Amino acid sequence: MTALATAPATLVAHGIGSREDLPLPLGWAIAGAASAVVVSFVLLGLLWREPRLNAEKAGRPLPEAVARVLDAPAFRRTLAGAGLLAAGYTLLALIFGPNDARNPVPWIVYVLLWVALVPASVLFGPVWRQLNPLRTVHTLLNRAAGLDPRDGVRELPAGIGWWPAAAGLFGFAWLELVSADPASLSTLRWAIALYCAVHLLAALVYGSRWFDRGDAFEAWSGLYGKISPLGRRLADDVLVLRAPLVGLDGVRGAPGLVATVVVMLGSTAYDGLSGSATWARFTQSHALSRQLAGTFGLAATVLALAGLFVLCTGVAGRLGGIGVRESANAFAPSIVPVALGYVVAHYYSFLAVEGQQAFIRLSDPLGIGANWLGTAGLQPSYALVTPSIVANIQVVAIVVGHVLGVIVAHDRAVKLFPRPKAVVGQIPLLALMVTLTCLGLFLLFWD
Amino acid sequence: MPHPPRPGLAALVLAVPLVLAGCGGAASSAAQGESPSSASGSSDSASSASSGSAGSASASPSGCTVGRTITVKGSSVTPPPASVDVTSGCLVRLIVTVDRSSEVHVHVVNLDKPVTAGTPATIEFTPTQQGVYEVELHDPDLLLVKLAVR
Repeated sequence: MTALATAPATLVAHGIGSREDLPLPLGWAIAGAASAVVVSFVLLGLLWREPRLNAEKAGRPLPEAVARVLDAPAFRRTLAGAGLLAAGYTLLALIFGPNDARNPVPWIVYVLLWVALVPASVLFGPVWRQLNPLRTVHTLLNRAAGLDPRDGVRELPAGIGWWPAAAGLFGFAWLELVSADPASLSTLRWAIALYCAVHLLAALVYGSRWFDRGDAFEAWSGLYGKISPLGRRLADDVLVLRAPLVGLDGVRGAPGLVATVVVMLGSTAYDGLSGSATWARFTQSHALSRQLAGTFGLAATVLALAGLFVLCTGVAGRLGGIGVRESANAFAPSIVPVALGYVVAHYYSFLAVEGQQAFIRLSDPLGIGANWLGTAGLQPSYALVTPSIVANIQVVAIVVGHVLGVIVAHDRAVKLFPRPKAVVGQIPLLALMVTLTCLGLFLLFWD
Repeated sequence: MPHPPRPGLAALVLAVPLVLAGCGGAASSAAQGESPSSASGSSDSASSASSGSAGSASASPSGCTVGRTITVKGSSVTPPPASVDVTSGCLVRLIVTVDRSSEVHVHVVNLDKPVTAGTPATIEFTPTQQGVYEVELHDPDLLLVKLAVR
């Protein structure tokens, strides 16, 4: 009874996980911000004057044997099968597992699917596209009916673009950071059922293309996957090893792209904001309902970042001689590394600790005292989350994310802006990046 | 690709921790400096814990105590929630008075304490693991205080 009663309480912060990092010491935050500014101007002065990130042609083809394995239908089927197996395991715990903190589903959703997918994608590319169990179920349904999964009953309208993914990411952030009881089984049952129903229906209507930009997790994994050194050369679709970030050059402007990257950034920023005592003081002193204040705070964070982004890229575009919309789309990919920095800074310790908790719980998904994976009795190690390790990783992640964002933006600017205007056109972009970096550090420092 | 951007980048990435290392000393002392003033409430009890009068489970080996007296009326918490610095191994003593019976939960140490309306409840524990501990009231869900344990 006590275990049942306390279970939801220990699952509040971040959806799960009660441990929080110490705030960043002021000196570290200032050092991080200062190095971001210095590094920006050094980069701007020293960087290449010709575009160098070329997703069309760059990269060295993988050794033939490796490429043959990775491209083999059997390998694809293995990954899809692994995704199905993981989904089945999750459903088992979701439907039959205990309704308390022993249930692994919150850890599967908020730690493994959401956070661990980021490093997996940054290393290996858009892995969720291969694992996505809904894509596989959709394919199997079509095959069973003798249909081509790519065909829907309607053409996917071009105006939809990334908007469903942006909405899905916002919805997921809301579920995790705002909803009343994100880790409770009933919340997760509803959320997962709704997610499956929406995407299977949409895929049946529009064909499997729907998942490319409609599924929040494919978009999340796909955009972070563009940073990966492993990718496909656009010119010939060959698997290549390439400099990280080259893939971001291949991201083309489309409706909803800006919204998607801004939500990626804003959801993490709001996570930092809402965890602060200042935020609690504000909401509690106004007797606001937690959900109402949270919904407002999340939306306001995303909208403020969107406004800042459109303003800065718009001014840059005007200085460089291109339109506001074109400019926002063109520079959207440069936000992806910045968002990656935010994710690493905010979720490193969460992944390090709760990732272990996930595997401990996965061993006994039904709460029957089983130990299917041999990890049930383990205690999580905190060796990787000492305050100094965490603070170092946080500052380095924010600053490196900033540097990579500046590089991507610079490369775009050199491509788009005529030579004499390229440097002056980048000043608003630099202001944007420095602001986002200082904001990221401030959220880590603030309490 | 003919001109990979990586060498310059790597140098910059390497430079960052060096900058940080230079600031580390000043940073940590700045953080420590805040702790005495932010331990408000019943901070006059700082010397009383060493005699062992507190329960044996919560006695602090180092003899230091951080106290805070918190009153909850409706959804208003007095003093308003803030982050309070605690040295690892010190005894934390919270005296909580609520206007509606509920339960106080201390994260990380996973301590639950029922509190009765109108009766001050004393909650004591000795955190040793560094990190931020949220102390919150259930029903209504309110953050009471955050303890930054260093």
